[in-house]
Amino acid sequence: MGGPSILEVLITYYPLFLRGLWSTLKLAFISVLLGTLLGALISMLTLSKNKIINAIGNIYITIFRGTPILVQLYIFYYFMPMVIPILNSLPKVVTIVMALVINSSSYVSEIIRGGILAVDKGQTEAARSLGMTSKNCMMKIVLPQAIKSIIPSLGNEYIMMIKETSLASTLAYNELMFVKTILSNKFLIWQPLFIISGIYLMVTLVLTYGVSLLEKRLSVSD
Amino acid sequence: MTNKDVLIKVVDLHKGFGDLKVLRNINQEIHQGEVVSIVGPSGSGKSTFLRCLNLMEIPDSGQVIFEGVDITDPSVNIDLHRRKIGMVFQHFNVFPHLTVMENITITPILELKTPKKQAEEEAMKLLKSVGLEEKANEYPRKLSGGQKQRLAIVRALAMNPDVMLFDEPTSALDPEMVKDVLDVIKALVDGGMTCVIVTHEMGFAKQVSDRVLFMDDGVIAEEGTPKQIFENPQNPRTIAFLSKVLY
Ligand SMILES: Nc1ncnc2c1ncn2[C@@H]1O[C@H](COP(=O)(O)OP(=O)(O)OP(=O)(O)O)[C@@H](O)[C@H]1O
Ligand SMILES: [Mg+2]
Repeated sequence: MGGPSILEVLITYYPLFLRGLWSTLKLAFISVLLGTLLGALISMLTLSKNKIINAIGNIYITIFRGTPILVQLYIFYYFMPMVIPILNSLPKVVTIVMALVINSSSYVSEIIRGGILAVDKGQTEAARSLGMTSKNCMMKIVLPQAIKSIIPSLGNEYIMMIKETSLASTLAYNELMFVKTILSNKFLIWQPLFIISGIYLMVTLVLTYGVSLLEKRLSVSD
Repeated sequence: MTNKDVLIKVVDLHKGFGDLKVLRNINQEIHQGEVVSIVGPSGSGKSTFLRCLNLMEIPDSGQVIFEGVDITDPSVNIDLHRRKIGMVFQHFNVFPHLTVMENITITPILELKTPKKQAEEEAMKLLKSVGLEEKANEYPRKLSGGQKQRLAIVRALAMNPDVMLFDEPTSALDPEMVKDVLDVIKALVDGGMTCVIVTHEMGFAKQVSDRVLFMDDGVIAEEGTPKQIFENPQNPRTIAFLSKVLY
């Protein structure tokens, strides 16, 4: 473990780490944000009473939760542009985001489904017995109550995603983990790893604390 | 039962859950202005019967004809008919994320397109009638069980229903709150509202009902005036049931 100390590397290259971190946070945020929109749609499929629609949703979830995210990244990165040629003319990050969004959506859809199912069935019954349409019942009665358990879980999904985006470094995407690859060209091998770990740890700790505060806030208003 | 208008007619109703036959061949007519109480042992199908009346449960076969329309027909828009059939649940099911006022106004505003101001004025009148006007801007978590149930009743009334269905409206209440809720129902009855009430409150059933149905094992085993059912029951199962619940 020769060479400069961790502190020296950090002081010299901190802009690189900061840029990597910023890139990681953005990538994870966009993935979870779009993943949430898509996940909401998928959760509607899995909540449908129609058996076929239901099966489509469940197959989707099974596939994307049942295969490693790294494999999904590679398939989207190398294979998708062959199938959808327009992707060749877009930045490579688009395929990475696509993979992360789809992966995230499969987890988020289960979060949303769970949140919706956790709302007392009596709420739906009361609303429907009043003659509320199923759409209004979902939008005005069930979702506003489900959101309380959904939002903290989405926060946790964001924290997971921040860690998982590190896999994009294997596709030369310039996020936090990729700083290790950059610095290895300067024969700095072990220092960046510890610095990167420290940064991930700090970020996830802060965010985990944030989520727990949010959880408390949301539960008092019950 | 002076008015002969049939409000709800139930024809050959059957309902099961899986292999369990819960309702078998039920035929009933509920008339305009009539108050019908349903009593019977736990699991006899009282709730299921009541819930078939507004299609909260979909019957396996048979018809429910409400104001001349067969609402079991899948092509009818059930939401339109449910707006005319109020339902009150054992566990209140008030909306915890809405204020007392919003609990009442949300459905009229959304589904009847009642202007907000008008809906609020009507809601305020209803709240006054059940002594909850001070609570209009509170959230339901601040209400007692009895207050929640009174809110649930006026929430249903805000839709101007032609009939009210009650499923054990006082069973989840502390004893000292039962009377407040029964008083509200009594006032409705006195105002001429058609009511179908599943209840374990035999005294109340006796007092307000025009007709009492005794359900047992998925059928209406006996029916009659409160006097007939409570004072001179004929069916041995009615007699056995009443001997258990009446002191
Ligand atoms: N959704 C359901 N799925 C399966 N079984 C059900 C369902 N709802 C009711 N049952 C069963 O149907 C039977 C009748 O139930 P129901 O709730 O109508 O009885 P009840 O007369 O209202 O009883 P209680 O006085 O306890 O409320 C019971 O055996 C019950 O377990
Ligand atoms: Mg019941």
